[in-house]
Amino acid sequence: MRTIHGSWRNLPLRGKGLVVVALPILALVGVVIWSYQAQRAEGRAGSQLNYQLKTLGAAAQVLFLTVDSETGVRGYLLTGQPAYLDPYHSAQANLGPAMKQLGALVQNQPAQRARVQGLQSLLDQRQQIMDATLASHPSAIPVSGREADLVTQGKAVQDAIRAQIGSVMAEPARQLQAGQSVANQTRSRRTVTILGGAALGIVAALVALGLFSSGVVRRIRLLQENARRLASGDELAALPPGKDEVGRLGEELEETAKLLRDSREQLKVVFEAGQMVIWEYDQPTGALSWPATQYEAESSRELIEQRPTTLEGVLGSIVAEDRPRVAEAFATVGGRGVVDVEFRAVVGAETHWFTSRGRLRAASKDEGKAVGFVLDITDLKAAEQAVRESEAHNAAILASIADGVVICDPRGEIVSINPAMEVLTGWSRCDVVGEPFDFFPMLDDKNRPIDRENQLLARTLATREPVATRGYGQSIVCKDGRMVPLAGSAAPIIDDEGKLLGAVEVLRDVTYDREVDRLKSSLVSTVSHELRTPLTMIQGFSELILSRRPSPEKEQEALRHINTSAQRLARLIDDLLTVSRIESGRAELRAVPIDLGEIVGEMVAEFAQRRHVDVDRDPDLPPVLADRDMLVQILTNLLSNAAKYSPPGTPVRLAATREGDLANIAVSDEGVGMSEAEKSHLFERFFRAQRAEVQNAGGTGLGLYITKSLVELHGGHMWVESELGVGSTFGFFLPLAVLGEKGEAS
Amino acid sequence: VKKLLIADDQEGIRALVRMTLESDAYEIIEAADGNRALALAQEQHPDLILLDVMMPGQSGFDVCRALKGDPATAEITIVLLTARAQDSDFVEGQSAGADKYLTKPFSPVALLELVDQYMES
Repeated sequence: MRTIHGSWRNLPLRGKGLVVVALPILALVGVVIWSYQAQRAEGRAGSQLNYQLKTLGAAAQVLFLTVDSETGVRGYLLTGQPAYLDPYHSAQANLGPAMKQLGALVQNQPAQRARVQGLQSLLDQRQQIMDATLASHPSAIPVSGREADLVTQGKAVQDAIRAQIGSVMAEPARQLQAGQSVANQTRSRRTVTILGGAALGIVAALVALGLFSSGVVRRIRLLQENARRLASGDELAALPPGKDEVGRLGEELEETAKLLRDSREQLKVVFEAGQMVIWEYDQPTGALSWPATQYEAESSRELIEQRPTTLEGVLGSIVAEDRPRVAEAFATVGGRGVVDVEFRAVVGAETHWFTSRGRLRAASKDEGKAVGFVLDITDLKAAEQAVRESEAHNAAILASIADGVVICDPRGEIVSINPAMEVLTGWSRCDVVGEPFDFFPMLDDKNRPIDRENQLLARTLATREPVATRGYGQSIVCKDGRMVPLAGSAAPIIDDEGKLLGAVEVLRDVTYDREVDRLKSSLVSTVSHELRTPLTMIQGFSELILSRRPSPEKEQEALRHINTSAQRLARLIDDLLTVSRIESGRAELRAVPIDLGEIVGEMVAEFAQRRHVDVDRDPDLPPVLADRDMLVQILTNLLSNAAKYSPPGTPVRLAATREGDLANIAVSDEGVGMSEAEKSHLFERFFRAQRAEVQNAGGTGLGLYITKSLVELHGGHMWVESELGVGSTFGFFLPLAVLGEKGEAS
Repeated sequence: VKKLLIADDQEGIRALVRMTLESDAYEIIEAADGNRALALAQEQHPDLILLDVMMPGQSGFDVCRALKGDPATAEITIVLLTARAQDSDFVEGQSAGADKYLTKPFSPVALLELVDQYMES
């Protein structure tokens, strides 16, 4: 039963339709066939009946004809009038055909045929009697005995004939009786057939209806219900399985539901992950609606918590200065077709950034209706801000780099230069961006142009290794034609995946470094000169003493020179050690009040051998607070510099005055003086002006550096006034040891 | 008597040379700077000049170039005395036309031999 039920469900709809239509039709056809057969049986019974009636008729005809001829013969015999023989002749003429007809009718029935043959012989017998009768009596009356006998004989034969015909007629009569009952039976059967057929048809129609209902209608209703559930997003009801179109439709509906569920799930994830809310806006009315609310993200939901039904309702939560922008974006959606606006709104206690984008719906029935979404982009904005800040930061760093920076792409086109590079070369960023990097002419140490492939950027791009210049030989030709010596390095810019993004070159103006480099090499010769001169005297004089055995006076003089030279060497070493001490912060100040008058007097006296010094000292100047040895070294350095850099015989002056709590001590000469440029490097270690009169005067370039350092160690500072070729004044301030304020000065 | 000019800003060096070459054979004149040395040389035409390179005023190279460039003084033998011992100095000395280049410190004996050799020739 179950399998039948199942296969009924699996039957295709066309099959089901055929079954449903065929059932009543088959019932109808059955009834028709049945009824036809009943009719045919009835027909057959009718013709049988007809045949029996014909047989009866023919037998009766024969009987009437014999009776007629008998009657005619009797009348003739009684009356003798020949007119009575007319019926006899007519009967005699018709008896032959009547018997023939009867014989034909019973042709196929052996028993009847025998009876009819018996009848024929009786008829023949009677004919002979009749003929004999008529022959013996040519006229009527009276009747002889023989004639009476013949009549009697004829009557016997006639009775026999009557009996024979009766027997012949008995069979058809019986048959007729039977045929009648068969006809009655057939008629009642036909009635039953029609009634039964009608009932069967009704039953078949009912069965078809039931099948149609269970197999199609009920399932289609379930499908309809599922379609409704699908539309409203509910779970689908289980459908009875089936392989027909309805079953497949059900499966496809389930498949669709699954797809829909998946896509809803995806949408949900997308909307939630994307912090999106969907809106619909009807521009003509200004009405706002929020479909698909199940997909809203937290912050966006809070934004529209009140479910505002107009744009104004939303604007209320938006930061005031962004409101006009949002209002304008929505007001013009009809014209522009799209909404694309970013705004801030307060959600909870925080200000969030949102973006809203949408477009007009395409269908004309939705004229003026726009659909779009709101998306929380706070994090994105923060990231954007961070990137912007980082970029600004990087740009600021690049701009802050004091050295020139050139950045190029992998093909060697300049992407950017920093402001220092602009200052260095005189070309602006706009001049050079997009140009090949050899736009900047580079020269080697002999001022020959450097080929493109030998430039730093070309080398670093080719090798993917950092490269740098050596020494200070290379220079760049600036926009105004100046040549600026450069030291540079270049490095490839390679990302995390090892891709070459370009290269960066840092170029430093080494004008000063080159100068220092030159100074250092000149220092080597200076120091060697300073060492060699006393060494020459020590070696030379000692050799003379040893080889010549000079007079005691000469020997004395030689020894004095040796001694002076040794002292000079010692001073040089002292200077170097002092510098080292100052630089390492180990110079220790032992400050005591010192009377300037006294110490200046000693210095001038000691110096008188080399040069006369005019002293101009404030007689009321209080003692200064200073380290005696250091003060001596300061004064010695300034005085010997004055003597060294001014022609013999020109005056050297020493002035000491009070300025507030400080003593201002200055040493002036009328010597070579200094240029402004030289002045700026004056107090640097090993600085020596590149002029013959300075170079030839010898010296280590340490004196002023030491002097300045010592003055500053006292809390004072140095000053200098100088004019090239006119003379120089070096001065310094020292704190005064103000007596009495603390009761004592020691 | 041959005349010999010592030009050196260092009194000690001048004293050393003086003491080394002190004899009846040479008359020694001295200069303490380049200008004085050039003036003395032009004025007195010494036979030989011991010329320090690093001096106030004109350097030894300048003086040497000036003297060798002037036909009146070109024949004077010039020995450069210098504490500068770099190749570039030696090259500059040669290009200035110096006859000999002596590096400090030098041996007085060697100096004497050198001067005797030049004076005799």
